[in-house]
Amino acid sequence: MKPIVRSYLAEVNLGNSAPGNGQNINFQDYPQLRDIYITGICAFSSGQVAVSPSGKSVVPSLLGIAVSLKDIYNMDMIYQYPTFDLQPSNVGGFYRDFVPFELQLTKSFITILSNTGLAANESLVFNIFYVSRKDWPKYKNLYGIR
Amino acid sequence: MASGNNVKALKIERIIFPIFSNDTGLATPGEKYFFPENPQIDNKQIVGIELHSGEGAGRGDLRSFANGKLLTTVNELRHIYLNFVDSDKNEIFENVPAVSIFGRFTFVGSPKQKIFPFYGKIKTRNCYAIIPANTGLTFKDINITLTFYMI
Repeated sequence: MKPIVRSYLAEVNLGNSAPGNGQNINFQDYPQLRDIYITGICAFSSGQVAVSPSGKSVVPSLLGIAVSLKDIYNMDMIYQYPTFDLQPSNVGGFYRDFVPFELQLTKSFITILSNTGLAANESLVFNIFYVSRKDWPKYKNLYGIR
Repeated sequence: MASGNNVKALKIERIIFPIFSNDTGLATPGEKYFFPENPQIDNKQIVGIELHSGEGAGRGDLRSFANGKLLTTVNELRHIYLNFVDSDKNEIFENVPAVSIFGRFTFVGSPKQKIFPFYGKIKTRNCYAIIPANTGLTFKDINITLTFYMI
């Protein structure tokens, strides 16, 4: 696992009604996550994190949810990745890191593959590891980039 | 320069701090419970952070009554977030779920967590734990304990 220079907990709320199968739900805008290189990500279900920072119940299962992350050029850098495998307790305690790219969070989204067990107003929480664009020259060699 | 997770810590320091009011013994959702000031950690290069938990619901890695202070249980960790702040008051690691940096495996059947390689310098007095609203739990006389790995 590569070093974590910054982290921020982002929340995707499922909305006021139960999500439908196949539904995409975008991440909301977080000022802290603008102009960043994403270096890694974790996701959590309620077995690990019961309540989101905003007081919402966390989804009980990640099995029916995939995540897609776009870069600033609208390229699908991570496409339909199973969020179950982003929860460290499911994958040997590791977090997923990858070659950093410039994240466009507001065009990134989760996809509900199966809404079994999911309810309205629940949230999925992601811990996003990142380096801000202004700090990138200082830290990029930590990620093997010259 | 550090790369990957092969950073060897040269110094390890553990802290413990309360997340309750002295008046009531209870934790209040939304209130910030600050870390104690620790010059051994302040502005040192941290390469990893690990949290420990007492016994009880879930599986702890440290006896709860060490030094007479009651530690969180793993179940309580599911309701706690940690914020690590530097000397300029920048929140460098925001709302880290406490259970995500707990070292022992969390429940039977789940694997042991790794030590997450948080890499940065903090000011302990600016860092805090927080419990969100709607937890449904009552936290009484609870303390959090964390180990910092540094170079």
